[in-house]
Amino acid sequence: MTQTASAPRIRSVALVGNPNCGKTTLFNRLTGLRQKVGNYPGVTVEKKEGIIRFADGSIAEMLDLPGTYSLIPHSPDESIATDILLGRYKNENPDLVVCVVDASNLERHLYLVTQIIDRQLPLVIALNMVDIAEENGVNINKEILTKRLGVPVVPVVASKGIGIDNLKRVIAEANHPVGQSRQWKLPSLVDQELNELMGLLADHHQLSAPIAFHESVLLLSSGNGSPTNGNRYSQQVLRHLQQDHNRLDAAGIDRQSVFVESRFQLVREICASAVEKKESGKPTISDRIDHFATHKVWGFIIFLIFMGLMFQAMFSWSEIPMLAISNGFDWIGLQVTRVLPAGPLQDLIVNGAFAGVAAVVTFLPQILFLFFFLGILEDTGYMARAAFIMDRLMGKVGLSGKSFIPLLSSFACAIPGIMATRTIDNPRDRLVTMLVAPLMSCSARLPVYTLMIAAFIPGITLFGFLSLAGLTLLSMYLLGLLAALGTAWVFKKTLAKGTPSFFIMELPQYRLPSVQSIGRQMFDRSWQFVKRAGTFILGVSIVLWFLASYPRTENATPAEQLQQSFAGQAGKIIEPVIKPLGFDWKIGIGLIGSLLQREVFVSTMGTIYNIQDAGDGSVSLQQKIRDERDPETGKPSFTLLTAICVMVYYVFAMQCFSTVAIMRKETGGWKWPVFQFAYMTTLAWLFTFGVYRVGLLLGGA
Amino acid sequence: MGWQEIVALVIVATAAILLIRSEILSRQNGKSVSCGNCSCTGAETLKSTFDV
Repeated sequence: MTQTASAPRIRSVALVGNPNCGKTTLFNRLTGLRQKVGNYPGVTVEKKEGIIRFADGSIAEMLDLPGTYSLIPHSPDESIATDILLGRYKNENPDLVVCVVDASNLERHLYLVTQIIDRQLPLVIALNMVDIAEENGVNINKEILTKRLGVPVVPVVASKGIGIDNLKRVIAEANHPVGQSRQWKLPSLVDQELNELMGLLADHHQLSAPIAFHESVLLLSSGNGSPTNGNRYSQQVLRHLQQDHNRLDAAGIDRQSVFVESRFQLVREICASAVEKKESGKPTISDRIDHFATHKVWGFIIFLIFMGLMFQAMFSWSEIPMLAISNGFDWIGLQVTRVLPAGPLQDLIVNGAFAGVAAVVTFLPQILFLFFFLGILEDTGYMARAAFIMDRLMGKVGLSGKSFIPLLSSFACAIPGIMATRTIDNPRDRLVTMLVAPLMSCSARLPVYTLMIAAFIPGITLFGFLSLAGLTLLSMYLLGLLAALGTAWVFKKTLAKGTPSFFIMELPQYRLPSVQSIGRQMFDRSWQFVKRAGTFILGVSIVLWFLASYPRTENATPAEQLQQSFAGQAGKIIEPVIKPLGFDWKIGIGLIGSLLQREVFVSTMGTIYNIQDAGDGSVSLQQKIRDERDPETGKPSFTLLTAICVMVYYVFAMQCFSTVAIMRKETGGWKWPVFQFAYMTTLAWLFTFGVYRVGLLLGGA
Repeated sequence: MGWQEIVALVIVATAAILLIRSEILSRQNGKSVSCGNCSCTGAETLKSTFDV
């Protein structure tokens, strides 16, 4: 546990609440950290730790937990939260629970509050978004709410930092109350059976009263005589449970809903006394936007227009900054050649390290624009609508709209996408979503697509505003999406048969995107990208320079030297496998180099073309690729068809070891990551072969 | 072998060692599986529930 500066009142605080109630925003305010936030349910899928500092100098550990609607988990992310609240994590209870409650939707959020109160943990309620509630005509009487629940209620607006100091002061107080337990009333027969079972569990399994209560509710509402994890309980408990089930069933009591209904009865009573609501009768702005945004036809069209605009803007807006970065690297390379005489060291720095790093960093503006648009998608609340309108399409492939958010997240990177599948309750749906998520075009593919498009797609504008380059980029992303959906359909018919789970998602209110939040996300992501270029890509480029320059051949031209180098020989070895795809040995070097990371393909091309051309910095990489000739035939090595084939190959190919690693972690073994790598590589080869053959038939060579 | 070549080869060897070391360390620590394109730090292991 945490070391404290002075005598601590509390050592650990758990931050809990329903999904999308602003937990992480509040966590960031309380701890000063910068965890990712978003306006859709399921942003946090793992616990995050931070330190909260109080006015007296003492500190405590704070846990930000994934959102959950109740203490009965339905998905892996909810289990993380409930395990901590039920004391199963390290067999410890948090010293204090701060439950974040959305003031504009109090009734639903209080359900979890009553469960935590029954758990008898010290509790503070953070009544968040009171500003939105007031805008919607909802006024909450804090005093009545505090009295009815028996725990402190602190109004806050986490997004604006309002009420944070007051909340910290309340958290720092000693002797937090645990609330008024079991205020809700059960039918007398249920109450009697519940008390008997609690007594048995306490005697036979040495459970504390609150845990015995929680387990008893779970057991009584479970299927007839067959509770989940039934082997945890003694035979006597199970026999008694069977009798309880028989008695309650004979009395015509719905065992599953009786507990939920009884709790909600209390929640409704509390809300009736503490909440004053002025019904305006007019639809809210969110309702009016949703009339179109979630419409079964317009919704889809709006989604496609948004995606189309995103890729158009990404391509056209980033041209000038890309050119500036490229020129900057050329200038630095020129200065090195002036300072350092010609020789292997100069060659290594200019044609190895600089060329490789520059080839990747040039694409930074596009990465920035991608995250700018994804930030808008997440922050406005449109992400949840996109999942809603895609639900019908997802249903056709056997998945639900819940799978669409991890797929959309994979546009940024497959790793958070795969982790976001923790919100999916059905294990088969979750597995299929994880298997297809890396088919969505992540930001690491962007440099590969852009290099090929910039080199070979003509700068034509259609209808005065649609650039062919932007359309090509959009088509690559759509191809990835279609590939993911098609593959999911096949998997749901074969590997993971079963009906999709129901899709229930709360649609958050629309709000203006936060400039600070989007700016921070763009900065964080681009910093990660630059850091990666300055470490991993730099290291790979240096090693590749060696592999492409040695063993030295006397009196050989740079092109001959490259061909006879270690890298050249490796490319030649795999050439027979990739020749049917229209790829030569140089592309083969890129494919081998980018097995770990996709954008290494671009740095590899940068390094080997610079070595071959003896560092002619005046010509761009795109131009060098365009000018490349086959020494035997004299024809261009790279054509428009080759460029399309390279892009199609990268749409399908796995080429990311980090994704393999996260799959192993999330599935608990090597079986599924190996399968994923194999099926994606096979698909990549087959589709690229098909595109190449069709292209040849159409005269594409 | 001139001084430039010696320095270049030392840089190459250092880069290769650092690359291999960082990859091994990140696997051993089991926490940093981030690809670097996003700000995620990797995930804690969950029990496998995939008996399909």
